[in-house]
Amino acid sequence: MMSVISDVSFTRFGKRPEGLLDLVAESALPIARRYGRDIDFIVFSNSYSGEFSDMSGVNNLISTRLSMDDVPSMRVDNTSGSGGSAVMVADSLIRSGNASNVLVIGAEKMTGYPTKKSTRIIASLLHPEERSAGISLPSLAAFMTRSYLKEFDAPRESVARVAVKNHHNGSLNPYAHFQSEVTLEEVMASRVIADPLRIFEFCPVSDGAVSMLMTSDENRDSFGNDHVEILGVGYSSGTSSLSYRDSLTTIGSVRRSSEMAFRRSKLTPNYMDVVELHDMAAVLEIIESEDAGFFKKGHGWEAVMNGETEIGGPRPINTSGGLNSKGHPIGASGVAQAGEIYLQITGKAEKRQIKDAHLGFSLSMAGFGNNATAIVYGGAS
Amino acid sequence: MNINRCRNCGTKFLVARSVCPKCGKEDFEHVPARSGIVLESVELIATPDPYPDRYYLVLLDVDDVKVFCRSQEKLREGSQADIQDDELGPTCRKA
Repeated sequence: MMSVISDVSFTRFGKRPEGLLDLVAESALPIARRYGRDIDFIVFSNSYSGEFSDMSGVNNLISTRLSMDDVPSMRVDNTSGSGGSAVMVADSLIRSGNASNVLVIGAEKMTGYPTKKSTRIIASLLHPEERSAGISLPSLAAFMTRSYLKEFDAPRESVARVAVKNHHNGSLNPYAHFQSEVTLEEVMASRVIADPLRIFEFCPVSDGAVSMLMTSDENRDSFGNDHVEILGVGYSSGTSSLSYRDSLTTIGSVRRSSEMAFRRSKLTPNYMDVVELHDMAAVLEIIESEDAGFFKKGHGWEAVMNGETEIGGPRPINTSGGLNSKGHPIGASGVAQAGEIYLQITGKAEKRQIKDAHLGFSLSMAGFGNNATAIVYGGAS
Repeated sequence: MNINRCRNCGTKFLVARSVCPKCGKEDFEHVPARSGIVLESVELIATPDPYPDRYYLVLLDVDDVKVFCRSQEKLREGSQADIQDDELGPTCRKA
C-alpha cells in the first residue's frame, strides 16, 4: 500500500493578526468541509504553541474547533522539521492500516513577541553548554557560510543569489510572506544579522498554516482526481551538539535521509523535476542541494550562479520561495513543502508552474541538522 | 567552563553526556577550559534575549574540543584566547 496526498489548503503566510487556532481553521476548513466525515486521524505539526500561544494539548483543541471531537489526533513536535515528520507519521499510519484518511495540519503562530525573545525561544533547542555562549540559529548559519566560502573558494555573491532567486519565486506565490523581488545589490546592502549574512538571506518570522488530506492509493478515488504519491520517505538524525560535529559544510542527517528516500523510491536525484529545501538561511539551500545529491560537494554554489536552480532552469529549487521568502512558521514549513510539490505535480502552481513536473523531492530539517526527513513524490493521475 | 573527559578511553566533549559516545562507559571527569585557539569568529547583531545587542561569537579549539564563547572584541583566527565565565555564560578575550 502507498499513501497519497489528495488535497492541500494554505493560509497566506506572514504577520497575521489571528491566533493559532484561527489560522489552523482557515487552512483546514476547505478540506474538512469536503471530507470531514471521512477523516479518521489528525496529525498536527507544531512546535511552539506553549511558548508563543500559551497552549498545550493543542491537537485536541484543534479537533474540537473543527467539531471533529472524537477523531484521534496527535501533535508532532520536531522543531523546524516537524512538518516532514508529520507527513512521515501520516504515511506510516496509512501504510500500517492504523488510519485510512489523515488530515495533516502544520501551523505556527510566532509574531507576537519582539525578535530578541523569539530568537531566544528558537535557540532553546540548543544544548545549555553551547547556548550559554549566546548562540542563535542565525549565528550558526554565519559560521557555516564562512566555512563554505573558504573551503570551496565560492564567491560571497553566490549565497546572496539564493535569496534573489527565492524572493523572485515568492513574488509568484500568493501564499508567501514576501511578495516582492529583491536585487542582488539590495541583498548585499541590507542589514547584517550575523556577519557575513544579511537580513534578506534569512527567513522572516512568520505566522501561517497549511492542511493536507492524505489517504491510501486504494481510497484515493473518493477524494477527487488530483493525487500525488509518497514514493519514499527517509529520515535520519545527526548529533545535536554542534561542537561535536566534524564539519560545518555538510549535514549528515540530510545526506542519510536523502539517500534513504531515494533508495526507497528506487529513484535518483536526477529524476526530480521540482525540489523544496529547508533554506532557513540561504547558505543552507546550497549545502543541502549537495548533501541531498543534486550537486557534487562544493559545486552547489556554481549551480546557483549559473541559474540552474531557477524556475525554468534544469534543477528548480524552492519554487515556492522557500522558507527564505515564503516564510517559516516552524510547524507549517515541512507540510508546506509537501503542499508546494503537490501543487506543482498536479499543475496548480499557477505563475510558478514547472512544465511537466511529475516527480518531486522535499527536505525538512530540524534544528541545525539535528534530524531531517526527506520525501520523494510522484505522478499525478 | 568545563570539558568532559571519559576516564576510560579519554574521549573529550563539551556537551554533557551520561554515556561516552566512543566506549559506552559512564565515568567522566570535568577538566576546566581556560584558553584555546580561535578557529572562527562571527559578529552577531540580532541576538537572543537576555544577551547584549551585539557581540562576537567565537569558536575555539580547546585541546581538540570545539567550544563556543562570547567576546566583545574581534579575535583573529589562529590567535590564543582566554576563557572566563560571566553571569550569562562563557566569554573570551585576547590572551
